[in-house]
Amino acid sequence: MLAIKVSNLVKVFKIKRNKKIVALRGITFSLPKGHILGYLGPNGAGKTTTIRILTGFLEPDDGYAELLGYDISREFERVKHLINIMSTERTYLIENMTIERNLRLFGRLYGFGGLELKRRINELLEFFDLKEHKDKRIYELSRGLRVRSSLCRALINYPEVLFLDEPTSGIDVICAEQIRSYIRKISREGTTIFLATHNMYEAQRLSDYLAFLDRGRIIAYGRTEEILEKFSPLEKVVRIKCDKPRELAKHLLSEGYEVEEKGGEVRVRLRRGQELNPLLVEIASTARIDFISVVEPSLEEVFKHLYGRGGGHGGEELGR
Amino acid sequence: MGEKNLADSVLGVGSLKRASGLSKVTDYWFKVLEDSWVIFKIEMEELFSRVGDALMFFVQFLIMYFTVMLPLKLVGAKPLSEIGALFFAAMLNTSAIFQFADAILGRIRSGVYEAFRLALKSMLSLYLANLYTSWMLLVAFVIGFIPAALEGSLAIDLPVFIVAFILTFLSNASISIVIAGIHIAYKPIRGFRGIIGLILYFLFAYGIPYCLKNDPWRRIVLVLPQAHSTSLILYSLTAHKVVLTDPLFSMLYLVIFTVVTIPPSLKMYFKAERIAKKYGFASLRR
Repeated sequence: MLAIKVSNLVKVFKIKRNKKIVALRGITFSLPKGHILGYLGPNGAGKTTTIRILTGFLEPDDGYAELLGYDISREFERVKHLINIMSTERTYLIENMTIERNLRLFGRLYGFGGLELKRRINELLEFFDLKEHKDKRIYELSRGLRVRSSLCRALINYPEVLFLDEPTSGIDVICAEQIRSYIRKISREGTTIFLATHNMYEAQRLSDYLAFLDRGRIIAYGRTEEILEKFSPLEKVVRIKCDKPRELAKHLLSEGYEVEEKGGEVRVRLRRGQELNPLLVEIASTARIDFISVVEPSLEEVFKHLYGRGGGHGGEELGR
Repeated sequence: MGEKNLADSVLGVGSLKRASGLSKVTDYWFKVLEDSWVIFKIEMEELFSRVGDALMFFVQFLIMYFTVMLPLKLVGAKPLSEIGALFFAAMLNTSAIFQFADAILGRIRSGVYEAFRLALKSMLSLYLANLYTSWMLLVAFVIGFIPAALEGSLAIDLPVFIVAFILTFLSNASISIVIAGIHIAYKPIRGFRGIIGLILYFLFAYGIPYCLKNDPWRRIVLVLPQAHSTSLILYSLTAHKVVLTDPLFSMLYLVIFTVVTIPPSLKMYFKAERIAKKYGFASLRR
């Protein structure tokens, strides 16, 4: 079953009397239940607009969107209790209220109460290592703790679809890694996750599906491995440490490989269609290998490839 | 068809349908009231969970009282009951003007408004919860009237006071709804809330009573519902010693003002909501 189905979604914002910004130009994608969609794109590509439409805060100008089988334009009231949202831009929490009270408040509003709610709050506080901070007010928290608290609130109603808008933006590496591991855990429990991010590493590690957005259009969409295979300009990168790096680099260059030599390490970039085995034979015949590793293509390469042709900026301005 | 109607009447399907419709309405209102109570209760728990915060809240009222009491005592020898009534009327009107708007102001940027939108059956609960916080005016009432009681000048016409209290909230509702609408769709006014509140407070404490006593201005301010509510509050809290307007006329004016202004203000608010849904909230637009 599909958790999200979007078809030809269009959104236009009026910014001045005669100027309009086309934020979404007919995007189409879908996401099966229980999976993570990495929704990628540069700033202003339309990621947040898509989330705001799917969470009922904005209405589309055209197109159709469905959440868990419900048409969001007509049946949003029926689905709003089954979804939730979290973003680093906004906490969605009452700033001058403690984490625990915020969770109790939203838990009660979602219809939970008594022991069940207590158990859920404890479970979430434990899950996000927030037990010792539960009596702190939101404005007293560091950014990392705010993000975790915000995630707690977003999960209080056991959402079937969770929208995450740049969940690790602006937080330190360790905390970001923690958040990613939480996202993975949430997904394992069956929640469908819509992850809008411009962090390639994060998207590659977490997502089952990827959608690349550029100036309000989806320019690539599919399963992560398919996207990597289809759009990465490189097959693999081979890193070699050997006794004669300079000679090896020269030799491989003369054989037509794309080679880079830096700090005693030789890097060979294999393009699509170039086999690994002949390269290994060439390397073994030229130098004594100390270390060799083969690196799979990264999403960053795909991103550079897709946005490399002068793209990578936000919605296009139009005169009326 | 006839058979069906017969079956319906025998089985009571029609009345069952009506009953289920009624139960839907009852369920809706029950949930709205329950949600508003939950929001109010937990917010109050938070406020009173820290002694310092609760004390600060009390101190704020006290400071506001002195801003009225000290200057008036310095320039004339008004009885403290009259000063307490002026203070309370100003606090009441200021609070009533923001009775709904405060539920939204400051909640959009943090995303809380949207979180409530997903969690609540109806946003009415949020506004009602904000309205309940008016009980805190009791603290202002106590602050305003303890000095008068000590002085021995305290005399209240309670029934008129209760009517004046309710009418103040009702007549200010439309203005509050319009402020909320402006905030969500046209111009974020969160940043001005404090200063607007302060200006209005002094306007209601000094400006309106002054204008009501001086004829060229009197005709102008009588258009404002706050002039009538201030007059009624003064009338009731001084046991009819201060009569700025005919109390019956003021009551009637406030009722008519409420009935006439609420429908267009609601219309404007719903339009603002549609604009916010189309272009996003004013405070979130880039």
